[in-house]
Amino acid sequence: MAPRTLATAFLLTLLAACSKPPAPPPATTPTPAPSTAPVTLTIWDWHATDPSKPIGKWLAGIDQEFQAAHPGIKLNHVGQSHTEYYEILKATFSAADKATCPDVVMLHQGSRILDQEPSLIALTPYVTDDFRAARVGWDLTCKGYDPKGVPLAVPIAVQGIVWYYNKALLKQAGVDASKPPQTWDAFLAAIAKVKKLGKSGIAVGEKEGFWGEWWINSAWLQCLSDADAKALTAGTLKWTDPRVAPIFEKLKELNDKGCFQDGAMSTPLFPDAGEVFMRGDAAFFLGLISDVAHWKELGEIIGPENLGGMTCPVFKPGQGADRFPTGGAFAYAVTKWSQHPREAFDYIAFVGSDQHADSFLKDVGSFPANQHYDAKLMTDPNAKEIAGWMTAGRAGHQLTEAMPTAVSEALKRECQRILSGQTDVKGAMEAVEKVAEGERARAKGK
Amino acid sequence: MIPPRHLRLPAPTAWLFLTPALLLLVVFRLIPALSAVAHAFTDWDGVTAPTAAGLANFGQLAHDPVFRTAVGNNLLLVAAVPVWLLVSLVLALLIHQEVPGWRFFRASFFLPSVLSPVIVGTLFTALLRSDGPVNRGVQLLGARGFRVDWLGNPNTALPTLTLVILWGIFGLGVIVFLAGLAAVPSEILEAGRLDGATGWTYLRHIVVPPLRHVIEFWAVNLVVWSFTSLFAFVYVMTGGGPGYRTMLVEYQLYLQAFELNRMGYACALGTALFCMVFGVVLLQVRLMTGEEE
Repeated sequence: MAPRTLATAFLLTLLAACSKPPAPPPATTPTPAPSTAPVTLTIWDWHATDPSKPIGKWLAGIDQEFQAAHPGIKLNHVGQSHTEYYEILKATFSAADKATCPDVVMLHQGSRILDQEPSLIALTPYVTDDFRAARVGWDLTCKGYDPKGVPLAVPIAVQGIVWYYNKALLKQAGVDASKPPQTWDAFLAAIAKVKKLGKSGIAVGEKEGFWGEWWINSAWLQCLSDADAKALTAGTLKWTDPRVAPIFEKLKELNDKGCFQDGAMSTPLFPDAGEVFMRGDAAFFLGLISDVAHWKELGEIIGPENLGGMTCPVFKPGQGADRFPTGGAFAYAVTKWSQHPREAFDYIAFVGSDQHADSFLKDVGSFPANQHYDAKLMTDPNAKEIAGWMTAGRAGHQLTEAMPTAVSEALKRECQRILSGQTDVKGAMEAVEKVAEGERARAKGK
Repeated sequence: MIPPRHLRLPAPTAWLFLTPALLLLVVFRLIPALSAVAHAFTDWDGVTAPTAAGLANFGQLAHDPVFRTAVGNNLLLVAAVPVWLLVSLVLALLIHQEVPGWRFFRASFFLPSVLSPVIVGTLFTALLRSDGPVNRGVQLLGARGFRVDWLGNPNTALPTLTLVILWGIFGLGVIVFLAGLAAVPSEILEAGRLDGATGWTYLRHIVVPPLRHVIEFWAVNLVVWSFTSLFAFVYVMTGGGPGYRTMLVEYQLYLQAFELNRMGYACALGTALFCMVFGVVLLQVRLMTGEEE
């Protein structure tokens, strides 16, 4: 065959392959009604990755129950990596082919939900007044952070940041473990005594910067009022304001006094820093109250009798000084590419139902957003104490939860820079303010 | 070099062979690249429709301190390219001269190259921990108080990362230079030795001249890689930290696109990165060809 003929044939074949396929013959049977067609719901989260953990097991059990109760619905529950979760989500939402988009996504409450707003449906048609009244956390899942606003996600858990301490280690160091150090000076004195044992004061994992963010969320309650926090978010209070400075000054002080374990800057927060604490190599650990790294998980290793929880040591006695930050737990949302939003919401409601609020507390050791749980199930002394703080009005919010992600990222990086001696407090505050200013300008421009 | 007329293919046949590669190149390289350049002039979150932003992204880029730091870090990596070249060349020469155990070394040097950067990064992250084997090893050698947080200390993080990258890719360089040495007539190398050339003189005046084009090829490759292909190492080992100490432009691009939802700005970063790589490689080729002339 002549080369010219061969080439022509090839190009014709290529053109044929690229051309539109012939239209299918007209359907002779009507399309089945949506209600009777089998439905597959794809759910993405970061907890289903590990079914050996209580929360993974809890979700797996709920999926089985849901499918048994809804024979027409098949669940495709995909566990994604927590570290890269939002990057994966972004890549999927940005892809031209939306067929791979999940129906239901787990999101952290706060700015993470609002960042994804273009990809989520408003849940207004599904969230009834009763449904809303039974749950807390709507201020972090609704548009404009308005608890009565348009809901974008359903809160499932209540999260918070608590200073956990190892009673046995404190006792060994000569610190009265029945009265955890409440003031900054007492805290530093306790750490100094622990260090004499050859142990570390605080177990820190600052590789990803999460610990720095937790520190900020815990420490701001010591020097700023709620009004200050709102002003900081709105930009009417600057990050360079002297009232903000103690957050960074105390962080630097902890570092300067050698309160952390060796290698804290390259230690991942999950699970390595927690393991340092659970091994008994550090006396304090900034942990959570739900999901992971919380009173149940820590207590199971070091013994609930050896575990204590406290709020951030008081910088200067005053209003709000003994509060602890809550918020930022997980919530579920429905993506706008879901073909079955009703069923997707039904699944979310099933996960956050009264019965599962009980099992969430009992089996996972987490605080449910659904307040219709049986309080008698709470037997752990630390859980009781934390619940007591909440009912006593000692729950504040997390400072970063309503901040643009770029500001949170800058805060993490600047904490790393302070801890590694690359900047001072003033430099860090100015750098964060510059990013915040840029974000405000962007928001204004939009 | 144009082949002699009798060896040339008729145009349609040439196009026949070229078409699949060209199609792939256009669909998967050219169109996405042009699309990214177009999106660099927009404000786009990757999901909703982009809006025209003119030169705003590039204006921001010019004042972005993180971008400046990242470019500086990238240039420090480029500055390490001669070391990467030299290590590979010397090792290739030793293997070529069949030093004792050369077969073992040839295989073991190449081994890191077949490992994914994620595996290499994870392996070294564990080895370099503050309480890890490297520090323990130094302590066993007598330095009792020795403990360096190799990846967490701002003074050691980037040099450590550079060394790990070197370990990860030097084997490929060895293979490239071995292939080049195989094409060098053994008489030239032998004559150099007989004339008494040793060490640096032998390397510079006997080995390098016939390998000039191979070295140029590999140098250009390494420069391009140091700008565009080290993401996985940074991602696994440091996340760009502590602070921005190991931030590279490609990692900043990823953070802007997928962490901060700023696709338009990320596209501007990508466009700037392309221009930088193109500029540096152009300069490099000019310098090398200039020397040759």
